[in-house]
Amino acid sequence: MLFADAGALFAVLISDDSHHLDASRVAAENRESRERLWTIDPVLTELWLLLRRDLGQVRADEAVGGLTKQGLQRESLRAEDFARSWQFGADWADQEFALTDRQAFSVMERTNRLRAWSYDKDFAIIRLGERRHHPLEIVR
Amino acid sequence: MSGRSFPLYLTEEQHAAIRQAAELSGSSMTEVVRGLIDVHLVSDSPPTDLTPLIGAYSVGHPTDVGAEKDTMLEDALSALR
Repeated sequence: MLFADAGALFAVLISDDSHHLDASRVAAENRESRERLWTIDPVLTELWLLLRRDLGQVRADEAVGGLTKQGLQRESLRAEDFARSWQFGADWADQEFALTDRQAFSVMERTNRLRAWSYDKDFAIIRLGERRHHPLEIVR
Repeated sequence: MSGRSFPLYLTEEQHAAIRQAAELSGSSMTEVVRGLIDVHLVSDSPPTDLTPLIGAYSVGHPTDVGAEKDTMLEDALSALR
């Protein structure tokens, strides 16, 4: 199970992005490996906002809907994930992790799915677990 | 929980991996094994294939979402006002 953040999904969809070639390769590898791709709803909201800025609402809707039709799975946030998100903010006060990213870290920790497709440096910084022993396996 | 039991013998490495996963997620080792089976063997959802969407859109200018996502989001939110 491979988590995808908004940047990774944006880079797949948008041919102008500097990470587009890398993201295209990851998407092709993902299809070959049949590893399921998952995300959380806040990531899709971020992505929709990014797309809407340049493409407009209709095409942003189409793009985000297309991702889920192609098998991108949505993992629901639980109450404990919200609580853990605030804790990440307090524990990593020297960082400026976005709330969406902290929510993703919480779900990854809870589900023990540590593979993340992201071009965001924060995913390489975070360590999960009470003792911060567990880095994410970054795919990019 | 109703169900069927099944004897399972693990290598030391496999046992340690499951124990570590249980510690990380705050669940039992049994729950970790059940979760792995659900994800890899039971799920009826189709595999992901994003390749038909590769490069489906152009925004008409270069972007670097890895480095500039926060700025891009601020612009996007400003446009909503």
